[in-house]
Amino acid sequence: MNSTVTFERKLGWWRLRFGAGRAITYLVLSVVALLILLPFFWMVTTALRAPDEELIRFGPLLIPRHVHFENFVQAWETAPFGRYFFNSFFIAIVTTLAFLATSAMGGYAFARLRFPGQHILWLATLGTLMIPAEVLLIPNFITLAKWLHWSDTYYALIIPWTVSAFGIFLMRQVFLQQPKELWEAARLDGCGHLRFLWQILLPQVRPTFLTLGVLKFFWTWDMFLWVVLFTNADDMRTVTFGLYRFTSEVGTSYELWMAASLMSIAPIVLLFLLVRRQLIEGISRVGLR
Amino acid sequence: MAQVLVRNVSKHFGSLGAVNNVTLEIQDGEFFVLVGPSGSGKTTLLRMIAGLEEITEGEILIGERLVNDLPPAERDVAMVFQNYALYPHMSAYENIAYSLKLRRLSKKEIERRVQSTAQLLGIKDKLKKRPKELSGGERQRVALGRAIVREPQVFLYDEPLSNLDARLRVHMRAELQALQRRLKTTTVYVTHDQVEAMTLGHRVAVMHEGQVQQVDTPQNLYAKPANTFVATFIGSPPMNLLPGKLQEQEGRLYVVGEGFDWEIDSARVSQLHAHIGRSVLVGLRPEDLLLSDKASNHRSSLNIQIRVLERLGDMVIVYGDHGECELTAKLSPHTSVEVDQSVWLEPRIERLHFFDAINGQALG
Ligand SMILES: Nc1ncnc2c1ncn2[C@@H]1O[C@H](COP(=O)(O)OP(=O)(O)OP(=O)(O)O)[C@@H](O)[C@H]1O
Ligand SMILES: [Mg+2]
Repeated sequence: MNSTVTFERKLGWWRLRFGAGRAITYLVLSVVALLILLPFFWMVTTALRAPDEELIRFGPLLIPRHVHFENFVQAWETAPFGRYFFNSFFIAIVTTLAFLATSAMGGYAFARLRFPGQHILWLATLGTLMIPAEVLLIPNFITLAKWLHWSDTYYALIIPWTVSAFGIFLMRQVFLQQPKELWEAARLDGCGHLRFLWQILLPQVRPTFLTLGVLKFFWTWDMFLWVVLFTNADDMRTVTFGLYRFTSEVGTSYELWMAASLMSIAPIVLLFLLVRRQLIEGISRVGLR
Repeated sequence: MAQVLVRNVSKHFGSLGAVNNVTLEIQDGEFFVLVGPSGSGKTTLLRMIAGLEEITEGEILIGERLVNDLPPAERDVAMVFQNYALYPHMSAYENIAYSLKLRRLSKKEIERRVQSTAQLLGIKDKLKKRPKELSGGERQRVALGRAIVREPQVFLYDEPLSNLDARLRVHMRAELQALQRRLKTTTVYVTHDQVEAMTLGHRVAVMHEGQVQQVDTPQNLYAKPANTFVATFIGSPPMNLLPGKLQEQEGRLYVVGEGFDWEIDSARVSQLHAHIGRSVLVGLRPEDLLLSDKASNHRSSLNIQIRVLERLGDMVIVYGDHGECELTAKLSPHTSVEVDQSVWLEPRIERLHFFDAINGQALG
């Protein structure tokens, strides 16, 4: 009797581990993973090959005959990439930090404080979530460029992106899930709102908060249209804009373009590797994609 | 340490009066218990003392200081929450030390106080652990430690034991009592468990529908309940209440009701004289009903048919109906009675309680 149960259990475990269902799952996941990785692989092979190699051979799977690391140097020198990288980092870091601060504080205010006009303000905040960004492009352009004369300044590239209804909304939701007694205990211990937010509340929602920050960094780093709209001076432009420099009327040098692209995504890949575990937890926790 | 004065305090949530005109004088060093059924306003009152809830009307003084408008941190009170409300990301040590850090005490002083608190509570070897890694009882101790370490003027507890299993609860109850005797800090303790109230409280306030029904020592609450609510709330199983009338015959005082006719002992006649002719509720504790044989004067005994019978080892509890009223009696464990048996119960006349039939107030 007992041994039958044990046997059944073992069989179940074995099926789970090696059974047909499991195999199909792995197969599908592997195919998907390959499909996602292929463009990256292509990017790398392209970035390392000789300029004329494409004339002879073609295809994403081909390994270059000779590895040309100097493509990276050449790509770097094609445009002022030092400046571009500085701009990209500066803008992404400042925007992300400011955005995290406004999201946390705004979310906290709506979750925990009571103030006059709160309901109306909350509805207004939610309302801005419904407006598609494209609709706002021209009004924003007029406000920033024509009224404030912020073209070719960091202000135009940073300030409009430091507050978003989405960030406030998300932080409010996760704050609301925290027990009210936490604040009451902290209050009795002598905590004010800001200290409570920073020392007690944010540590409870760290994965979500971090995820929000990383995503914001990605989005800001990828910003392109906005940069085109608000900058003319070369020393105000960013890495994503720099990539655009490799296609010209004369033709496109793919190996340099891909080399530069690789350099431009390197910081994001590094950042991802750094916070990978927290990120996965954060994304699965809030159901955010 | 300090006295806590609650003067005519009310709290309204919209149109709901959660606490209505409560006045309490809690002595310095006293272990004071607020007990009452769910929704009677205990927590609300405690939170007003803590400063977590605004006071709609009235005044609260802690150590002669009016605290109505003081924020919680400046009231010098510490509160232990029902769910402990420990900071999940901090170790037990950091949890206990946090309030001291905010007060900018020196590292050395913090260390000293946390260690001595941990020693007192027997959690010295648990200080590195996070709340998640602690058992319920250990969390409870950390929560206590967080309160004790501040050396506040007043401790406020909101049902601190209700999340523990029965054994641990009894154990922690004894510890809390010992702790209070040692620290001699004024304590306000909220519970809906009358056993906790009776065992812990120097004095107990019974609350019902936002009002204090009676404030007294546990013995007095039991022996001299001020009204039918307190009479039936304190004591388990609750006091029996039978409708009757006070009557005078030939200079003697009787209480007469369905199937009974008891002469009131002379010691209480003068006390009850003013209420002659009035409808009353006669209160009888279950342990004050004794098994009797019918042969003695049957107007002095109550007849019931046993409906339910509980043998608890040290006693037998019988439930039956007497007319419209349910009667409960605690009998000696050696009594041989059976379900469906008809028995006669005789009260100890000198232990009867009398209440006004209309407003439920104790008479005399
Ligand atoms: N924040 C609030 N808003 C509205 N009503 C409330 C609020 N807090 C408490 N109440 C109401 O006030 C009344 C008293 O509540 P309170 O929590 O003080 O009762 P309690 O005696 O502590 O009960 P329990 O034993 O269930 O904890 C209840 O009717 C409750 O619904
Ligand atoms: Mg309560």
